Amino acid sequence: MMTPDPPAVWSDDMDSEERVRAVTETLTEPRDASWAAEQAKVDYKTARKYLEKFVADGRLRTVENDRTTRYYPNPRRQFFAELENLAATHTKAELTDELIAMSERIEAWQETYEVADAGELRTTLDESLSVEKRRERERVVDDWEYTERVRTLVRHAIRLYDDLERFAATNSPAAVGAGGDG
Amino acid sequence: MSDDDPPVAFDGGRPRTRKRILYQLNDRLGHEPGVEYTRFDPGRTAPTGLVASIDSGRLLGVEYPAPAATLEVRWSPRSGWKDRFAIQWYERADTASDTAVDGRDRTLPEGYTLSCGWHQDDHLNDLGPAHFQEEYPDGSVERYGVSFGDVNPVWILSECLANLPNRLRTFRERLDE
Repeated sequence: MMTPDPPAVWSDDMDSEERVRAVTETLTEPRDASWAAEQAKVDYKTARKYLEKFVADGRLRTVENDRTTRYYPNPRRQFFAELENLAATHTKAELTDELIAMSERIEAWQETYEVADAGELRTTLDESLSVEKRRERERVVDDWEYTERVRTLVRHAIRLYDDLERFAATNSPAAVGAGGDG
Repeated sequence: MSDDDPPVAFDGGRPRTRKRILYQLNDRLGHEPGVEYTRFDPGRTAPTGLVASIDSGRLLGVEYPAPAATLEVRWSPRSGWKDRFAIQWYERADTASDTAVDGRDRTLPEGYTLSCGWHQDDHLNDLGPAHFQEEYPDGSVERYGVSFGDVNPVWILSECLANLPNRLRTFRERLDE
């Protein structure tokens, strides 16, 4: 029942580079340039050009197999990019609110399933549960682990705010004296 | 930190990837006619899904008995496995009309609102990892195997949006029987 032609995937306002970037930033396994080209709807050479550019600027890393280069997101870059994104798109107060909301979500799961953590909930996934119940718990395990990891990043971002405030206070033009570079 | 980390150590489904996928799917929905607004669920900071408010006629490109609907998207990427996702269409009870505008007289049973969607997870593997499911008034569920091929999440969502008019037409025909 799938349509014979590829669907409209990318919006017209995305250029080739943006499409190649979009395709690579959601990878869960290393991929080669052919796949990226097809997914981004660009030709092979264009895909290679941007993939190599992303490797050069640290966004992607590569692994070689059978003389094929495959690309995947640099995990350190992903970590810092998400940290920066959280700080850039949230005030400190918003981050603090989010931290509380995430902790409440986790507590609710702990209470509902009577487990201490997601790992413990995962151990309850067995054939004694119906398919529906297993599916529901799998979703909760996924969401729980994910929420905990985002919470770690949010904590880091809150600390960043504190550090940035302290840094700005000791390094402001007024503090440094005349000719401070701000 | 060493430079020779094995590929399996990369994000592969961890927070940034899941969040990036949902933000891309949100952008894709934002470019689809008939999507009135979207919101991240539970919020934009640690979203696990998306909810879109739909003007059915505009989205489907045809007159449609239920003018308003909701599309819920849930996406949980996994490294080395098929992503787990659900793209679910729910019609809204308060706006469902009893008569199809093409003149065909039909009613959906009292208290039933049409619900169907695409799911991919580890269950019901006889059908393959992905299936389209139809939820019937008597509580029964029909599932049909579906294969998306080796494509990225925005592509999958786009295929589903393209197929939605056909799927809904077929489902309503079956409901009519």
